[in-house]
Amino acid sequence: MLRRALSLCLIGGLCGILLVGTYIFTAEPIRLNREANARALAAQMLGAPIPADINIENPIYGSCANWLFQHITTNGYAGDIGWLVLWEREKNTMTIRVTDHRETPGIGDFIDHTRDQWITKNDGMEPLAHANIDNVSGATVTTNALRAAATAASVNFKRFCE
Amino acid sequence: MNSVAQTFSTAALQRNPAWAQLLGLCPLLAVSSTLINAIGLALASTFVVIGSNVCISALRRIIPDAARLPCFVLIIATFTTMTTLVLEAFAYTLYIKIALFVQIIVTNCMILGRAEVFASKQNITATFFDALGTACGFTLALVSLGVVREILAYGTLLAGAHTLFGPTANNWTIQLMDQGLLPLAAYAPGAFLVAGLLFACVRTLRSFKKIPPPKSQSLIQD
Repeated sequence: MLRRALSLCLIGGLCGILLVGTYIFTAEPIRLNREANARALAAQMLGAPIPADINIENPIYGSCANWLFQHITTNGYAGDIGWLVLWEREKNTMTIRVTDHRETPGIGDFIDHTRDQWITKNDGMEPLAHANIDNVSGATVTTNALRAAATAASVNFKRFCE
Repeated sequence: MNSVAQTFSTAALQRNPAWAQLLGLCPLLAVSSTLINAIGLALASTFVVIGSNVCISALRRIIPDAARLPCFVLIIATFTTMTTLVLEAFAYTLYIKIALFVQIIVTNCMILGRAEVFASKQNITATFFDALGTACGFTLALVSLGVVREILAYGTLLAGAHTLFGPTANNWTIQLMDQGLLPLAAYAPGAFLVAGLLFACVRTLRSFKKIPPPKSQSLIQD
């Protein structure tokens, strides 16, 4: 019995060492990749590069005078959906992209701009229009998540800039 | 030497995990829409099947028989997670495309099957060549399906090679036709159709060459 327990501990320990070693080896490149990907997405939404001194990992970043980005999470059909919301003050417009989701492929993944152009057609709409967007048939929960993200982002932007 | 070659060829051809045993079909059909995606998954699967089976073979004397399946799954999951991390670190664009199917390598019957049938009973050298043969057989199936589907769906070959091989592969795309003959081949129904036709071709070749089909219970009889 003791021998079996020791064997299991040894196997678990070996697996743990392999995983920790790989994590240490890959942590920095993964962080850089994720940051580059997030910067590219933000730049594509804004139509201009994001200044290097801005920390894009903050929940809200940018300037109240010009534009603000916000990371926000709402409940989707298959778990949390991560959104990146851009508010441009002068035009009072909002642009929204999905950064992370597990919505059903072919039904709820129309919100993902890499798979469907649906969300890009709403670029430049006013925040209120995003918050009242029509349901997409068969994906009510997913559309609700988008409306909730737009509403929460509007509130947070106002609080942040007051 | 002969036994090593026989172990390899049996695992790769006679008992090809996809074409002969119909194992690992979910990632096979899902990821083979282009050749580069197929090669990416094939490399990931190769690393996992060889690494985990060699590790299981090395530890076979201390793995408790009653808990062998959880131990196998733990080891396979470890190698799958390592593969996922390395892909995310060094082939991020490809990772975004095939991440889901790399993560479910852990549930691939092909890998667990070889661990249970072969790696847990044989020495490291034999296990290595068996795992290499199994990986080559799976790669063969993925690549053949990837080639046919990419040509039919897009009329290209090696599109997006830079996602796997870096900027030097930017010009590797071969444009065979202006557009694909069968765009459906890029989607799931097309994958089933093309795979079904390839299965039929393989079976015809087998009957033509009089290669016996794998035993129905080969996974537990070895």
